[in-house]
Amino acid sequence: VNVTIATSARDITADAEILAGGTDLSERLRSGVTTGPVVDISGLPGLDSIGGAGTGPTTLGALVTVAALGANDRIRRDYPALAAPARTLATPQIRAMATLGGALCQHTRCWYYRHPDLRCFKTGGDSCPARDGNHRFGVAFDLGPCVHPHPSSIALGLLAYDATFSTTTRQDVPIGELWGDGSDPTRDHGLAAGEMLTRVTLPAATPSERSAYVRLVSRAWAEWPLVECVARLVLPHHLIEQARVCVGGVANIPLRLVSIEQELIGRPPTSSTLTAAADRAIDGASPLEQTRYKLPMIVATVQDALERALAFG
Amino acid sequence: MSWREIAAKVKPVSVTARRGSNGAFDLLGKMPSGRLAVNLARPMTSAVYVCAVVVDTRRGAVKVDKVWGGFAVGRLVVPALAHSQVHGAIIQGIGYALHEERHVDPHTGTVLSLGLEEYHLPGIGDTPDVELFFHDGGFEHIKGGAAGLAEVSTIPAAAAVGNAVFHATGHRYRDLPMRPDRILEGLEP
Repeated sequence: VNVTIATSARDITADAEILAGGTDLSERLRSGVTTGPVVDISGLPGLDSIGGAGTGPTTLGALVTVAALGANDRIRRDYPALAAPARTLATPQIRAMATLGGALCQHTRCWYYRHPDLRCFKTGGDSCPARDGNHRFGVAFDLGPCVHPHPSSIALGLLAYDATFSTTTRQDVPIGELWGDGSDPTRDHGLAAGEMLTRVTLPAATPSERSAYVRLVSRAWAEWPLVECVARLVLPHHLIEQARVCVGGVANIPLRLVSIEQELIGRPPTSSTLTAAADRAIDGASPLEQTRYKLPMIVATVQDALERALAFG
Repeated sequence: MSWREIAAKVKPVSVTARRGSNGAFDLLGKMPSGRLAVNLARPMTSAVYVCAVVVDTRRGAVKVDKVWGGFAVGRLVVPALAHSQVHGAIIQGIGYALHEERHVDPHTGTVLSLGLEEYHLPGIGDTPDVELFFHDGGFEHIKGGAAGLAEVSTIPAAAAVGNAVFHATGHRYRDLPMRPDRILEGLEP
């Protein structure tokens, strides 16, 4: 594989695969799903810091590692719904290498996409073999031709804070636009060829916020979640003033569940409010044949997250 | 020359054979010492497991909390290694019971779980507290007084997990691994 060490953003050519931490790309290169050329941006200056002062917004460089994100005092204090997934996902080794930019731009973990002998929309094929094949770990919200969930847990935390992203060509775009609506199966993110994510900006911290992150896995660690949920509630007095509920493992994009948020806002934080809201978690769900089992899991995971947010906030 | 051409030139060989039936003397074997020995009087090594699990009935995850094991395998030649081997056996048994599964494409049979990312083994966080007891006699008729430990410690571990999940939930799961979706399906009224 042809690897170029980038010394500035201008070295990123239109056909380049960007290498930062390499936790996703090295695996794709090994299996032959990606052939390069590769541009190594890990040494680019100024992209690995977390900035912000006082009660203002916070900026995260694209090369900040997941481990650094989870260990940062400002993030842990002001953005707990982002710190929690950063401290829980994958393994300590992966978190030490993986970067913020890589977490948001990584490719799908679908076993058909990553198989060296199979083809799908993303690897030059004209169909999704998972759709009528083995999609046991597939989506429960069928938003487009690709039926494997988006892998990023960090994305849920950023969605929950209405973060924005900047690239080499664009400034402060709402983070959700990085993944679009899931209708294009040929790509994992909306960056143009040669465009590189440079920064994510989090708005100023919200006082009186409570949050939780719940991840449904069968093992303790090192597993792509069947369902995961970030819940964030702003509760200045006796009523829920603001709510964000984002779920992963269930759609080919990180998904915000707006109908639950509407159910929560303006209500007191009682267990009946939470149960009624969690029941709406599968509004609009469209499970595949082998993913019906995820529906009760989504409700349970969302309910767990809401309950934990209020109990441990 | 292509494979087909090579195959056409080679004299055919048969690689099939028939295995003999089991007989009365199957337990007669040659020991490493070279002497013949019969394993009939105190025939078999044995193991017993007791297992405690926590089942998350809302989300379907099973956590093995503690495993107690008792073994009659004769003298422990290297006790530390025997303990270590049984710890490994228990972890592997938990893998059989809860995690290990080969995934294939239903149309072509292509294996989809190509690595440890999809083929799940228990990790350090899934490892229970383990307490072991070894009864170290009973194999004096064998030179050295020791017997094998590998299979007898691995195979019942998964069964013990299955029995504990049955005891916890009241549902007898017949398919392994006992994945969260299967646990929840079994709990449906």
